[in-house]
Amino acid sequence: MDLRRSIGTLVALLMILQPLSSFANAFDDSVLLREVGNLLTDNSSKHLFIPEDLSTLRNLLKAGNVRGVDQIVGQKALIEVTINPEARVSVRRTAAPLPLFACGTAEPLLVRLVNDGHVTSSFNIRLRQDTDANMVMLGRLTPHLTGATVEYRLLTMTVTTIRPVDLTLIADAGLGTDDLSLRSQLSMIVKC
Amino acid sequence: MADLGMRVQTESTLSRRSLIAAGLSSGALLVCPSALRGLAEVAVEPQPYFASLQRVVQSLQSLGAPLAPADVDEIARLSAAPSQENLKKAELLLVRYTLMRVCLSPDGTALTRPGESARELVEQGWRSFLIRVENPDGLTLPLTSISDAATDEGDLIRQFTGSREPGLSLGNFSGPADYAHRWMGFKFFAGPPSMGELAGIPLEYRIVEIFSRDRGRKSAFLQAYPGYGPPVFLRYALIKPAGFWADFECLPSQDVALHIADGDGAGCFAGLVINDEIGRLYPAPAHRIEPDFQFQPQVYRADGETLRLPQGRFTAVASRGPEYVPTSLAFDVHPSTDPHLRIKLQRWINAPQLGWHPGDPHIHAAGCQHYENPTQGVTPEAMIRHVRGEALAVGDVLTWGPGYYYQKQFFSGHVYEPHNSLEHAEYQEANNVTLKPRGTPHDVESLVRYDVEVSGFPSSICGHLMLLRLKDQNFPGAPRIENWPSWNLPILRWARAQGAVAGYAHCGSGLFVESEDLPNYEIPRFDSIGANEFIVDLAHDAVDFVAGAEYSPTTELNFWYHTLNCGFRASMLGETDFPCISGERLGVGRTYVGLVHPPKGDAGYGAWIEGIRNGRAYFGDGRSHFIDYRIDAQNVGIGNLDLSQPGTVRASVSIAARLEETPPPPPRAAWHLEHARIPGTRTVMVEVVVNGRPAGHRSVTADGELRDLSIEVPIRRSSWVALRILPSGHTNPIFVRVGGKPVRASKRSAQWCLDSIDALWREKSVQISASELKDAEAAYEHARVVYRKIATECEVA
Repeated sequence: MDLRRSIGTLVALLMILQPLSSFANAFDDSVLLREVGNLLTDNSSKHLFIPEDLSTLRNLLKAGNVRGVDQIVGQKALIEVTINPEARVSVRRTAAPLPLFACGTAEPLLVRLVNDGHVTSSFNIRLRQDTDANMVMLGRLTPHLTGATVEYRLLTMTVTTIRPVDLTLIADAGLGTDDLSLRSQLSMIVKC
Repeated sequence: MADLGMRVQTESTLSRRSLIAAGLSSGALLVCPSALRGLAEVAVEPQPYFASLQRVVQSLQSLGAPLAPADVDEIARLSAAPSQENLKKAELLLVRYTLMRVCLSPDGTALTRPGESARELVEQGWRSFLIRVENPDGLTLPLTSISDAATDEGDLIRQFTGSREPGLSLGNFSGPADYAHRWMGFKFFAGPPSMGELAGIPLEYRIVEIFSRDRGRKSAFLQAYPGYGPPVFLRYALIKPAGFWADFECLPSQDVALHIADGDGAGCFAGLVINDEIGRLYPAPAHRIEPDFQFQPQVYRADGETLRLPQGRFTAVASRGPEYVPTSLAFDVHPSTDPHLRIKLQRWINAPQLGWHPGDPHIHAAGCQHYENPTQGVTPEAMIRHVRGEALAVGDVLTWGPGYYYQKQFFSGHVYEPHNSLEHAEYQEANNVTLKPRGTPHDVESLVRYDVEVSGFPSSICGHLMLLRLKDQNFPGAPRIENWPSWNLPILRWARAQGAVAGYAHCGSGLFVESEDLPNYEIPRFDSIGANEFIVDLAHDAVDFVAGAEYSPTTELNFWYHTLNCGFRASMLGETDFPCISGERLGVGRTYVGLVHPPKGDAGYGAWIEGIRNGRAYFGDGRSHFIDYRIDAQNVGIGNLDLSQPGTVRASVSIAARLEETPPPPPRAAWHLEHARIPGTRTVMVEVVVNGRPAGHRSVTADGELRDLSIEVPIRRSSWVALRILPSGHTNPIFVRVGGKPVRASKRSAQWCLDSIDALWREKSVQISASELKDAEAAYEHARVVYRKIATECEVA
């Protein structure tokens, strides 16, 4: 049983590492390096990364170390969106903890996009209609995807309620892309 | 179930284990005094409580184990006005569904006490229960086990990473003997919209599904275990914190003999949706392995097969695709009788008997909603059952990115020869499957062929190709997917050189525009996976068809109409892209090919595919039918109608469509005859289309009757002429040549194609590999030259 569990852990680790192996072309690499470079020039990067991480990231960017960059930035992503080869969109929460929201202040949330469909369509994350927009507001995302396998987006969320509120986010990549089985929806509890 | 015993654990000896347990219990009791008192007030905000509860209600529905309808309504009412008072009412309502009450202490250990639900399980079936979780410290761990007698459903759950080579199962159980010791199976429901981890609110409910292998009275020590940690046997061996012994009554199940007859009285397959009186689905969807799919309510069974059900009253809804009237009947399963279920299916139209044979050219056996564990998708034996159950003559199973290297073993270059067996015997046995597959007289009417969809490949950005009737599925010099070309034309040329018929899947994807006019002249972004490179490939005579009937008809038809106006003759098909665009069933989008003989074997499949290539086909949702469409004496898909000079022709067809007398709620699918209903009637409009524009129409009563219809159509120049009932069905066109000239119907259409090539190049060239870019650029330029020439040949602006 122990052996089986150990093998299971090893397989799980290999599966986690699997997406990294999909960095297969110069286009993907250039998009990721460019986007993370832009991210570091944004004020929000100070909220997302500790100074040591920022320093490491700058060095990795200079060295063009795509895997290293993705590993560090990926750990900060709160939401991971996957667009499968058939352009179906699914979304999940990662293990990264939610930030402490200051009431009324736009807080940056990092979104990691794995675009196995390589679509260049619009991409958006929005609040489900029955979520109280007076309590939570989302910023708009950059309108279109680049088509690269992995890219990052900054989503801003403003929370104005000190009471915990359960909200549902919906991700889409243009018309007709919502995943079956409700996997394009994500629920989380926030408060400020 | 009042007679069922419950004993809180009382260990008589003061062992180290019991001391630890006592410590844990007392800690949890300090945190959760309500664990002693039963239900108590817990400080919880109503909004997150009800939001979480709504997801639980929705999840139970999707599991086929809903709360009683009155309770669902009551929770919806209470949720609409979240308050402490309504929260208390909801708590009282949930008592009778709650198997265990768990309280988490800050160190992550749990105290488990009994709930008041009936402890009833069903042999070889599943029951769903609620677990009430008090979580005063807001832990966000998942619950991971309930008892040392219960085996985690583990690998027999739906997983999908989309990988071409997903990790293989390490074995669902550590051996048959280990499995034999554990009579229970369990699974915490963590599928959408529910979350795997606890939400971290002070009070919430989780769903646990419990399977019983056996019948009769069985006992188990119930103790919820939060978080990850040692293997289950260690968890309960090292520390056995306070839980409770519970006795379950496991109801016996029985094999129900199925008698399924088609309209001609001969046995056949059918899709069966089986519900009990409170709406639970059988077999329980979340725990199905092939040939039953977890994401569908129905299972496909043949005449003479069986379905295992517990005692009770059930409803069966039987169907066999859109050409049949759904049949519903109630039946009882009782231990004192041999249960039988007799179903007589009723066709409202028999298109194959009229010479038009339905197929779905785009279905998958892996990826999207299919599981990839315990096997990487399902086998041909599963797929053929579904093809038969939807009365499809042809099902083209396309191997694609997810599970590619496993699934490609099923490609043979020939029609699959079914042997009516149950695949993966070890998993069937572990899941206690009793189905014994049988053949039926109607089975010869359906065939399955394996081919390739170029999806998840480097060229997929240029649109997904369907390569049908391949002889060889491996692109030369490309041992791995990564080695395939990064644009489509080389693949199309290779496929067609071996006799394949090739075209574009889900054609509308990425071609959406604002306009709802048909035709319109907006240039789409070409930003997704539809018929992108199609207009370029047409100019190289390298592509045979586009496939749709999935997205808005305007989107799917607009670009096709423009290319027809330029004189190209690619066909249009209906497809499902199962289970990606739809997992409802095969044949949601269908193509009906006109053939003299029903398609059987390789030759029959070849004839069906040639019908596609020649455009001797109509397509749609299968609710409207265009039998023997012709203009004057010229049949669709067989040559041209030649006129020496402009004149009037007669478009004729035998047409049938069927709407229910009373309109149902609006269907979600874009292509559905219901959307065509003229409000307040049972009629729909049939249009004749000349060069993309309506040139006449007739209303038709959609009562399922076949009616002859003809419309006179003026023809001024070489044209294409088609019939349609939007958004339900559409014929391929008949080409009318006037004075031997090709169709050059619209200069504006040619310009649309030219502008689209420019947009396409801007969008796609950045992702074409450097080594192929020069060839691609030249091919695009050639296409521009072709369309410019066409534009100059058009008489009409």
